[in-house]
Formats: sequence, C-alpha cells, structure tokens
Amino acid sequence: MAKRSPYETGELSDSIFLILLATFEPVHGYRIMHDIESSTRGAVKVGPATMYTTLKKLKAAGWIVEIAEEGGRILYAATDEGRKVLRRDFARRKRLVSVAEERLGTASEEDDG
Amino acid sequence: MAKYRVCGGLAMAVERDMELLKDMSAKGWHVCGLSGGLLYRFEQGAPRDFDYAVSFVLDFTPDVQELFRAGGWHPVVTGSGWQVLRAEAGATPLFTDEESKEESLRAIRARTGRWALVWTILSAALLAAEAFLDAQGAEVVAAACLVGAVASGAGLVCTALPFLGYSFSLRRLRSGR
Repeated sequence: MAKRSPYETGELSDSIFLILLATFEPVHGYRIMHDIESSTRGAVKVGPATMYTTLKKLKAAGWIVEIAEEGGRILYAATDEGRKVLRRDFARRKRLVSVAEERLGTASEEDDG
Repeated sequence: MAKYRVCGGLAMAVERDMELLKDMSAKGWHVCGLSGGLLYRFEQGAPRDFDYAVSFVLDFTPDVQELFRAGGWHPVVTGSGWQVLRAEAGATPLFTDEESKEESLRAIRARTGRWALVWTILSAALLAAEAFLDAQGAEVVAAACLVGAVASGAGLVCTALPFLGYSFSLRRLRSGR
C-alpha cells in the first residue's frame, strides 16, 4: 500500500512542521531556512530545494499564502487551515512524548531499583 | 582556452556527472556551459573544492534564486526547467528530505512524460499521413511528412529517454527507504 502524503494525513515531517511553524508570522523563504537552523542550533537544516518544494506544496494544500511582495520578494504566511493542521500535529507529537515519558520514566525507575 | 566533457545526462547519470564537475573544479576547471545539450564546457580558474547538484525548478524566478543563494547554492548552467548549481564543499545539500526530492523528481518526470506523449502522437500522425499520402501518389508531401516524422522522432527520443531516467531515479529513491 502506497505511503500517504503528510499533506493528506496531517502527520507532518519535522521539516514541514518547522517550515509551517515559521510562517505563523509573515516571513521570506530564505529567512525560514536560517531561522530553523539557528533555533534548532544546527540540529535541523533545510536545503533550498526542499524549502522551495515544501513551500509550493504548502501553498497548494492551502496551508500558507503569499501575502505581500517587498521589493520583488515574497512573504509567506500560514492560513487558518495551516495553523489548525500544525496545532493538531503538535498535539500528536505531545501525546507521543507523554507516552515515551511514561514508559522511559518507568524503565528508568526499574534500572535505578 | 576551454575544455569539454561529455554530459552523461541530467536524468540518467546525475551523480556521476556531478562527481565529474567536482573533480574538474578540483583540477581548476569550472563548468560554465552546456554545448548542444551534450558537452559540458569548462573555463580555467584556481582549483577549488566545490559541490555540484541539479535542480528542476520550472519557475526559477529571482525570488527562488535568492532562496538557493541563501542556502549557498549558485546557478552555473541553466536551461528550460533545469539548473546546475554549485556551492562550497560541505554546504547543506539541496534536498534535506526524501519527500521533497521525490516530489521534485515526480514533477519533472510528469512534465517530460507529457512532452514525450505529444511527440509520440505527432510522430505517429505524421507516419500515418506519410503512408496515406504515399499510397495516394502525393510523393512530395509524403516525403515532407516523413521528414517531419523523423524530426518529431528526435523530439520523442529527447523526452522519452529522460522520462525513463527520472522513472529509474524515482524507483531507486523509493527502494532506498
């Protein structure tokens, strides 16, 4: 069975999650790359072709819009739908973290005991 | 003074070609063009450690170019819907996730496939016209149709082969998961 796209399921990859998060305030595409790298302290780097392709897909999915052009540049901003998708995926990630904390917390106590 | 090397095809042998460009730069020869779609042209300079990569952006606008430059990648040879880019060695790769790479390959394969279909239909139509007109005794017009069919056949080869190349690359990318 073919793997479903994150744009269909709403289960975002790390790159898509961080790019979409960055558009909660209107932002230039090139700034998103730098902001992701600096905010994750280099742990996550987004290549320019990945950025370009992802912005196109996000726009096609209706999750971001091009809202203005400053001197020929394009700003990207999350739509209401995009914000909902991100918040749902954030909740999903938090649930996963809770499950892991419970299990790993238990395992840690057993190791100590 | 310039040097030339045969292009293996941006659809069929991308990795090998990018390694060639990197090796040439290490020797002080930097790609500056693609002659007739067949030969890389190099100009002499200082030996440099560069990485090379190919992208297939249809709308390579100044805004998109800025995005690539911000990532350290500069276009050195461009064509209709494709770009050979160069960066200092060790730059963040053009693609940092498989999904976007797959999406890019799917898009260029679809584009190439549409043109291959157009050339196939045109070639078939011209060949059918040639056969019909030849049977009718209109030899001159039939010959013109044959010439047209050969020309569109060349168009078919130039699109069908890349289409197969992209299909192969896509399959390899998916099987690598």
